[in-house]
Amino acid sequence: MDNFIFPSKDNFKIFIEVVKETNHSIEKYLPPINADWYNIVSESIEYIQSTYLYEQNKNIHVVLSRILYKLAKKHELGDGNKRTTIIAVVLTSIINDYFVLSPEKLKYLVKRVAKTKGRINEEIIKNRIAKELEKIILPFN
Amino acid sequence: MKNNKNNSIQREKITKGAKIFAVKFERVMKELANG
Repeated sequence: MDNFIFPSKDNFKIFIEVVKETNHSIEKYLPPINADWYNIVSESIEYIQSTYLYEQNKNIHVVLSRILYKLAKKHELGDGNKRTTIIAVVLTSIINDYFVLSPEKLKYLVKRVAKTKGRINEEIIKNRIAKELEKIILPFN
Repeated sequence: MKNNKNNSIQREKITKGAKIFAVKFERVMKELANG
């Protein structure tokens, strides 16, 4: 995927604003969101973006699996790492014209990655996650 | 000009997607928030 779009801090701001504006009950289940949250999540995405040029496989599901792994596994936030991971994967899918077919399955994958110990088999885990994401994250058209 | 157009398309896309997210992911986010 040559023209992959990585979400910016502003993209996250728009996304969260809209979720809050909808007055939907999901607002109370959002992770604690403040300036630090926007910085940490966008820095994590920037890190993935910085290594993107050197990666051989630029398939969207591979990139999404890297984002998922980075956010779910590294626990850079005090609270809400798994929920933040879901937001980042969904937002990245949206801006690249993809949609998540199964929220339940995505939650399962995020929990599975968060539970893994250490960094053993990191590449194998990311490849497996990418294969699973192929089944649940599909193009709009 | 082209950038402005792209930004506005992107904003529209995010707005639409975020609204769907709020409905579709409520259960999942609730479960994760409750541990």
